[in-house]
Amino acid sequence: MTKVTKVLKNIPLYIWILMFTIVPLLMILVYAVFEFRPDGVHFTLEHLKNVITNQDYLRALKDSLLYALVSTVICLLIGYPLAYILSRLSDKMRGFLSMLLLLPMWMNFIIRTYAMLSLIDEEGIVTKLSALFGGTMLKGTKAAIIIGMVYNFLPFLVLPIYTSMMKIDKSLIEAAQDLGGNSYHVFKGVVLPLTVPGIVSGITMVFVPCVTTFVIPQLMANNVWTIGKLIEYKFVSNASADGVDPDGGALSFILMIIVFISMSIFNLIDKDDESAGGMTL
Amino acid sequence: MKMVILVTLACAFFFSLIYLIISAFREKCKIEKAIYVILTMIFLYAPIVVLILFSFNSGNTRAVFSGFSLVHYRELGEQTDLLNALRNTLIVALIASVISTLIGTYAAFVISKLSPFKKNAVLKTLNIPMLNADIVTGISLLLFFVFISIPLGFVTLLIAHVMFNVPYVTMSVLPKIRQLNKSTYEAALDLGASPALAFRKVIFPEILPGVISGALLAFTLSLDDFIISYFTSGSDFMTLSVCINSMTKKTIPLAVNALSTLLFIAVFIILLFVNFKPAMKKKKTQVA
Repeated sequence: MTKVTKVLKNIPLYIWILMFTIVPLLMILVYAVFEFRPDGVHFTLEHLKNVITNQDYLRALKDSLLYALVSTVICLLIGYPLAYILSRLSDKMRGFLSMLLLLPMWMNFIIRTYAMLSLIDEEGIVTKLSALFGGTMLKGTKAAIIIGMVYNFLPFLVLPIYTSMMKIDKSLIEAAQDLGGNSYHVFKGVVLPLTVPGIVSGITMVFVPCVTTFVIPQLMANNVWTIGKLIEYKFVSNASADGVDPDGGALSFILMIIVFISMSIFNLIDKDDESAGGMTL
Repeated sequence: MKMVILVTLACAFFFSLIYLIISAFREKCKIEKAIYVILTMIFLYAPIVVLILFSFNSGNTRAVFSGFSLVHYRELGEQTDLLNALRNTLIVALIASVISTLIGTYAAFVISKLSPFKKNAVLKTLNIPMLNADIVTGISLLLFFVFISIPLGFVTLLIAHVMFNVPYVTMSVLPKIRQLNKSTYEAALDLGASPALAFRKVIFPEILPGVISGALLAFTLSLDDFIISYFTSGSDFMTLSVCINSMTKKTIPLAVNALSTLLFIAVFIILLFVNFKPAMKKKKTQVA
């Protein structure tokens, strides 16, 4: 095969990647710093500046990060023990329970959120039960958002941790026990360090969707604004016919930066751990 | 009467589930662990169970369960919005998975022949939609379509779905290409096969499992997607999740519960099949 035909064969792939991956992402930057008005295109940093100084936007940004952080921590607290218990079961039981864990993940995200909502809204069973004890409705509170996030993303955290636990060589645990470690020592010295990659990928799977989600705050507590909901509002609910809301472009750009930063932080932790693990073994 | 039967069935289901889980832990007698698992499963399943229960409600609200009936399943036939959306979802998923399987497989072949440095760079960029937050992908595509002024609708939705499916197909085909034995292909050529015939007879059967699993993955991802579809579908062409989301603004008809129940059962059956088929095969070979 000649070199020319070889290169020609590759070109469609490059065009594909350029057209549908790189250019759209660049569009976010373009709409963040350019304004498209009938009288022409104007370069402006006004909207970016506006987004990082406007109190409402900043509060939404802070809230999104806070909700995501709290939900991720709760997911980890619930999910880690669950993964640990599952990984030590007999084969048959493990298959059955991991299928039970997977099943909700296969349901559509919207249906899942709606199912949770119908427990805690005006007509919901949880609301009625709590009313018996003088409680109030959960829908519309901050707790409702956290519940929605934990409910939706818990399986996504358990699964990678569970997988990394299954990969642990049983003889390592036995060796630790033979050397006189009690179950606490075995856990702290063997199981926990070896599951760090699973924990990190689990956290990424929960944290990033939590920061960016707009459906959960919209359904669970519509008075709370998060950055995802702001963007949805600017682009869809309140979209103007004559073009893109420039603040929306700037907000998307900020969100993209947040996503990339959190991904690279998690990536970094993961890499560090791999090299450290190699040293100790 | 029907109500009593239903409650008894539900109780029986729950108790058998609880019994199963407890018996799993019996070998170590850790009752606390069993309770822990049960509680988390209740947390995960309570909303789904209630959703399914109320799909059989004879009344029209989620407030009171007034009796068992299939009226909402019958109503489903009249919910043209939902049925249209379901049809749209299936059409988009089907077409998008076919196109993305072709592009993804082609991409895997191109990538496998690149130098290590180029391979790394191309893979990293190709995988961006896989790692990126859905909302960023959705917005970026929306802005892209606005910029080149394509009206949002079926075409944009299809492009978006193909775009986020391609890396998944490539990632499942690539390992199969890596495992290919080059000499069998060369042997086929030496024996007088044309490159096309050699590809069809030697390479294609080897990579087929990867292509199939990539296509299935693409299909399910398309079916399940909400966020990217929401931003790229416009207001005229709705997928099922977009349609249900638009219904949440008003009171949701219980027909949605009925449809969700049917989908849940379908997924359950597929998962059972996928999980237990290998086990059955193993048993068969053991017997043989």
